[in-house]
Amino acid sequence: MRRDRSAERRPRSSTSAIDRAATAPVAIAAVWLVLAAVGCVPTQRGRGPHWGDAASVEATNDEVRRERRAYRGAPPVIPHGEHPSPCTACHAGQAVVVAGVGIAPANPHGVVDASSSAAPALSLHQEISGRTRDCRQCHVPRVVESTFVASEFAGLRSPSQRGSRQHPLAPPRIPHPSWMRENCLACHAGPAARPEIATSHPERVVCRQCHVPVDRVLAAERLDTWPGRGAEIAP
Amino acid sequence: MSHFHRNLDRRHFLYALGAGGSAVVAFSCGDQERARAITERALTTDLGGVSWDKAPCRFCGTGCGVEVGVREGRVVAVRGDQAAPVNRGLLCVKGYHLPGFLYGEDRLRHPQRRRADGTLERIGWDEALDLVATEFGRTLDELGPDAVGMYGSGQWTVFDGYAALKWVKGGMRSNNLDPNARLCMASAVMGFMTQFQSDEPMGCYDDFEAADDFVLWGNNMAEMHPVLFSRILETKQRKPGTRLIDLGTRRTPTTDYADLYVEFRPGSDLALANGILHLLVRSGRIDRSFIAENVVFRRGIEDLDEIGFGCYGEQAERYTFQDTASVASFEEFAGFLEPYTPQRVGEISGVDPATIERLADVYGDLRRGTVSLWCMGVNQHTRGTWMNNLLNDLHLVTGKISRPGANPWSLTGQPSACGTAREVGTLSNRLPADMVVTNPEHRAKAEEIWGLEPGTINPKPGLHTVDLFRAFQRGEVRSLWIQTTNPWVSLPNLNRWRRQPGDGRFLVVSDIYPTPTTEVADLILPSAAWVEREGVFGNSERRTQQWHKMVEPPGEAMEDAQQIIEVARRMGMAHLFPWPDGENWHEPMFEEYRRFTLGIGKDLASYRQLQEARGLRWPVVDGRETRYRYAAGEDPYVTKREGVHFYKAKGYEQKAAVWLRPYHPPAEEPDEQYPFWLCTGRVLEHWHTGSMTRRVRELHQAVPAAYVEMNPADMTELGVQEGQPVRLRSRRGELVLPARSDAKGHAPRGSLFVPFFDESKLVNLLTLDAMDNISKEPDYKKCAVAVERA
Repeated sequence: MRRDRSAERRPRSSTSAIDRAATAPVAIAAVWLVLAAVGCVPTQRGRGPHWGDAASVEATNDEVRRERRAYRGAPPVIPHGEHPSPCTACHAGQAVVVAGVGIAPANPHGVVDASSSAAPALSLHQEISGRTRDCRQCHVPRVVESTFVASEFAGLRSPSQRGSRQHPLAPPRIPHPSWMRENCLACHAGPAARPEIATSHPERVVCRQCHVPVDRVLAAERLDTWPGRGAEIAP
Repeated sequence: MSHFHRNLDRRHFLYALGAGGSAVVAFSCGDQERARAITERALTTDLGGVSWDKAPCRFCGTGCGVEVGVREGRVVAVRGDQAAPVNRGLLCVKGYHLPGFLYGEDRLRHPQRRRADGTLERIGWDEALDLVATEFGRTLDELGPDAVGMYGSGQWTVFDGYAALKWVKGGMRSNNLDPNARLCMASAVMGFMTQFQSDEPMGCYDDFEAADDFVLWGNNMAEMHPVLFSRILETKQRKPGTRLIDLGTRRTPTTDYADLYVEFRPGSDLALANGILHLLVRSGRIDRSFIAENVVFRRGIEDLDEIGFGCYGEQAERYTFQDTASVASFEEFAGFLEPYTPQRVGEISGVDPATIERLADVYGDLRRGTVSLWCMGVNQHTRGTWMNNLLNDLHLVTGKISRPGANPWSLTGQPSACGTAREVGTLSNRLPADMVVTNPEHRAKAEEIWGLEPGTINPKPGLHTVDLFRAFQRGEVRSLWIQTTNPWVSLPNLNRWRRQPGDGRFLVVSDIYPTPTTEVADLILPSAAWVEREGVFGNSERRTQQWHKMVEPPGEAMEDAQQIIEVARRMGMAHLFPWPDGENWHEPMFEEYRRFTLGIGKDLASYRQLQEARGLRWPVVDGRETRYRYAAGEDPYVTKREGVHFYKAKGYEQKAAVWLRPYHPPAEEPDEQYPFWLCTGRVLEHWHTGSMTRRVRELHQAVPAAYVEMNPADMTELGVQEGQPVRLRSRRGELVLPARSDAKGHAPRGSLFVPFFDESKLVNLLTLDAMDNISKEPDYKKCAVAVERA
């Protein structure tokens, strides 16, 4: 009764202003032709066979993303029963097709460089002493479908638009936070990738060379100000 | 509205220029800076039209920073705050699902009074507040200040606790004010107070990156403090050779990551710690110069019959044991430890003598930094203060204290157990900033700051939690107000507290949801929670964290502090809260409270500074926080050039006290009739009595109900399969639960574990209300039960 209907509206498109701001100088067109030749940009106004239209993206959001996530950015619940093997036996660096069961998506958290001060400080997703990874700190199974008390919580919806572009020929920006989701290919390539967000060029593994995450500026500034980091204690 | 959209479009536009287009559009430096600033603002508002603001997590004592996403007056998301030094962008599953706890369908939205027939009727705030003021006033007139009481919480904000303290101690002149933190970390308080004469840890979370060895004493950090545990795991990975030692009475998810797991018999940790001290002293692996410079020795009353456990015989109704300190020496200490040989300790604890030697090697390697961590396993213990003393002793004799990576570390379970219960001092004998009601100078200081007549504050300590409820049960306390806690689930031996409303006593309960506690209330008041009001929490590492009100509370819900202020005004105590109606009193109230802390080593930051910071660790002097208390070069109160100075311990010549504390057996042990140990506790997905986390869909669906964790061999012997019901019986009550051998932890033979979050499966019907002799904290970890097929 107190449900926030606005949560179900589509987010405002953030592309119109950008489209208006962009111009297409001849020089950039030339660069684009070169990139197109090596398969880095989609043809047909930025829509190739691997990009679905906005409606299909939203449909998938409704059915899958929303069902498994309390809100945009929440860790998804575990959609299958418990297995005795460690989570990482199936959810490793690449998606795995398990015959007769389905597709086990890759672990999106990537491999964090232990020596990097910019990496997430918290290594729960790393192998520790050869033990299972502590995925259960954030991801929990669904043992029952019932609720204790009905909830009026309406979480933030996932975006349905694609990443905005600086100009029509530029690579799209990453339209979602990428904090602790460093392994882009976990969702955007391989058998687990939904067609509408699958990349046309999975062989180019350094995604962020061309695609700028929305939260990069924010993240970088904050990382610099972390006090008391690491084992080195300032005098 | 159109103005808003115009701004949004402009932001989008500038954002596009600043973040994406370095090659296409040239900026001057100044423009770039400006665009960058605008970009940042845009980012904080543009993700789906959501505005973000900082707050500490509502659940445990870790104090993770979250960013709270609000759209159209509702919390719609949270994210781990990457700028928060505590968690650096990570949360646990409870933290990630924080917003859900605000929106359970059955939120209390209006005051309700219980009719004579037991049903509830909605009433207005004026009527409700008048009723509280009248009942408490009448009790004061007829029976005096010993007959009123307030039972608060380590989840109270600083404001709630401070308002309660002023109303109860400064207004009603009673000291019957105690928090649920009494059930949680009172033993840690008494450990710090008896040894350093100042509460709260000397270390901070920076220890988790700096230490070489982590020794966990009955502490399942992987589930209870998961984000801090992640920091330990990261350190293990970054610094090969870092060791994690898990001492416990059951295998837990924490054990999976331990380099050494040591299982001991429940309650024998006292013997184990003395056994390690014995080996350290005997082999001389102690820091003699540190001891000579910084340590004194004390011992107290050690006779078991004299002390008792507060739950049997003549001590059953009131437990008022007082410890008495006598001066000891290093030689006496060494002699006292003489009998705690590995052989004898092994017999008491069940730990192999060679393993005790290995533990002594960890503490005794003076080149390595050791951090001992503990929480409820040590605190909820019939000798919890002693156990705290012994762990602090281990660090004092080895000099492993007050420096990065070497500290005794007492963790807390509630978000403001430190900030409110301990620092504001909402305990029955306390005043703010470590002061006590029994000290005339302390009372005078409080009266001066509060502008009260000298002699106003009652010098007689009030009732601690268990005695408060025993007195309420007897009718000696007639009017009781409970806020932000659920004692009819969390108190031990629940059968003692059965109550029918309308028995002549008056019980007010302020909460956000219906609970077993509101079921026995005469008056229920709806509270505002978390970001529905402005607040301050203090976490385990002395970090004070402020947040702003972000959304309106549901219905007529009101923040706890405001409820107290309104009642106080109705009782003619408006002078206690002299801030004008309708104005935001939070900052002036905090600044008044802050006066207690300044200049004595407990200095809190100004409210303005706290609004800007992601929390600051006190003492904050000249705007700078302190990482390591008592340490030269770190703590501004230490004037020495190097080493440590326990400047707060004026009673010990500014040294720390090593206490001689013997082994005592638990209050109740398994026997033929009740052959199993019973331990209670939490699981990762639920927090305390579950009134919040069970209303979060994802958390409830993950762990929907309580169970009993049992050894597979015991299940086979009993003839029960996985998930089949068994009946647990103790001398106090019984309970049927499904048996599980594959749940979170793994119970050893003859031992059971039951989580306490499930209000329909009340494990506290079975537990024993025995308590620590000094802190009066009950022991929820050890009692004897029988198990049969149900």
